[in-house]
Amino acid sequence: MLVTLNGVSKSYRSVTALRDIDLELRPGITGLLGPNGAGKTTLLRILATLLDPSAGSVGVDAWDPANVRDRTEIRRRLGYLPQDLGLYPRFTAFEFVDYIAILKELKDRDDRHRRVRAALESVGIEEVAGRKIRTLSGGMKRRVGIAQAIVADPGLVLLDEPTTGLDPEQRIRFRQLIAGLGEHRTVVLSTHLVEDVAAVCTSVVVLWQGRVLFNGPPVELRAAADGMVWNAPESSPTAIAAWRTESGAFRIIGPKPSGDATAVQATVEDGYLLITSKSPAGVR
Amino acid sequence: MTAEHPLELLPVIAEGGLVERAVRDHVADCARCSAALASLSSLDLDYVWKGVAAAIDAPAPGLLERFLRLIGIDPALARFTAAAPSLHASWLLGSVGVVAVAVLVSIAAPVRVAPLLVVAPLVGAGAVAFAFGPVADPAYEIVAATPMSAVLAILLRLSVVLAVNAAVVGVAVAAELTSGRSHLLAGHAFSWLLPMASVALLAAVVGTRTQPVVGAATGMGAWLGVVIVAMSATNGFPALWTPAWQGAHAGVAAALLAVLVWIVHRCAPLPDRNLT
Repeated sequence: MLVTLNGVSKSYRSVTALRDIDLELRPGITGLLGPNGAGKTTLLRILATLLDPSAGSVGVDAWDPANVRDRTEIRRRLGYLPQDLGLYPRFTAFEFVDYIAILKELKDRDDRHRRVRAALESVGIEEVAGRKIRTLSGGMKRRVGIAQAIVADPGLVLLDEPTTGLDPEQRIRFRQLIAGLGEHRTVVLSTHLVEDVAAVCTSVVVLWQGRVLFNGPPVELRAAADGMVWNAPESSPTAIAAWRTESGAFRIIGPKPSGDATAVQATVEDGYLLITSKSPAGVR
Repeated sequence: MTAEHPLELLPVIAEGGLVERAVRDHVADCARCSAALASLSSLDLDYVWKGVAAAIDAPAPGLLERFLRLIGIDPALARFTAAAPSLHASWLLGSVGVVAVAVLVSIAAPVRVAPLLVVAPLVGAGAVAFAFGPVADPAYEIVAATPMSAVLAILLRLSVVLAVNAAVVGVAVAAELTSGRSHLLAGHAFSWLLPMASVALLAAVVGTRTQPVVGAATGMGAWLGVVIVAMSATNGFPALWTPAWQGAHAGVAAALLAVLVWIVHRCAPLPDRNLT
């Protein structure tokens, strides 16, 4: 599915959450990167037809979410995992995913139950399908949330902080799952974990204080920091960001520090730090 | 295993499992067993297994959901309605407790107006405010992003919540009337229904765009204010519950229902205060 945003802004009283966003999201996996309060959740809620933009327009294929009928068509093709994941604690994992599946118009009981089972298997919690949600760990609840988002085979998948609470093994499994989903669907993944984006995303959008700072493939974000990343025995006053690594040396992003410094390969995280540091009130 | 043919072992062979050599030899030589094995091998055993596992995991629908389906409600709406937070047993027990206290006060204390007439709208406002909305329903955001008709769904859920709570009050009214220990309700057995509906709808209108507590407090506060004014205006039975006032209650309820439908139909599911 093709998602387009033209001049989208969202304000609430004195707070402007999004400012004049122009984006085109195509099939594949787009990572929304940004710190807390950058506007990622607001943007996903607008895409999920849960919030109206204050200005600008959104299109999902030929549908306009401002139109009530079009909104329903979009929701038929939507899988959504909110950041504040609310589940019914007295439901079992199976029961909750089945609940959302039936609301997504999967009417045939046997087929729906198979899909629920498959969704639970794909996130690796089929063993606890019959357990009450209140007895599940935070990571398992998150996986129930992911399962409900994919159960109806959506064309547009919106995932807000999906890896929160997942352990490293689960995150790798999640990345494999998302990579599979992104082959034929439009997946938008909001996160503040740069490594998630670097691992699975075909495109990255960096949001900063409601604005788009960067929009392109992860390699371009990484390339933004080429020639700006150094290993040095001491930190540097001109560094945009610097931290001590396991080896005891400092990893420095910024102009070449004075003294004994060697250039190192930039990462997507370096690119992200560099780009956000150039914006007003960026990191230093 | 039947006397001649190891039919129960065929699924194991089809899945590549190990069986005794004699069994494999028999299957290879026997036309009937070979045909049965061929038909099994064409099955998608993973698909079959998912069906079996799902049948084990799938819980049976609850009583209310089954009843709603029985009377022809769409399965999705029935499931959504039955999931209302204020239809939990704990909430209903709370309603029963409040109503029981009202009955006891009615019997034990010298009061001008049956407490049930005052309490019924409060019970309705509380239950309806906590039936639906971004804060009241934990899964609200996920549910709101599904294609289910929000107007139908919310109206059905609120109606069922209101009907269940009305049934609780109705049973209490019937008990009080038949006990013969209170004549405060004589002639007013149904006078609480329309006030209950209008106050509950006020709570719903406010609650769906703010917090359930704010919705419930608004409905309850407005109702108690009206009751206090009505009580202080007369030394006898206040006109608030007389037939003449039922039309006013119905009018308010209809207007609030229209506002609620308009909000649900026209507004985005999340109010702007949820911005993060």
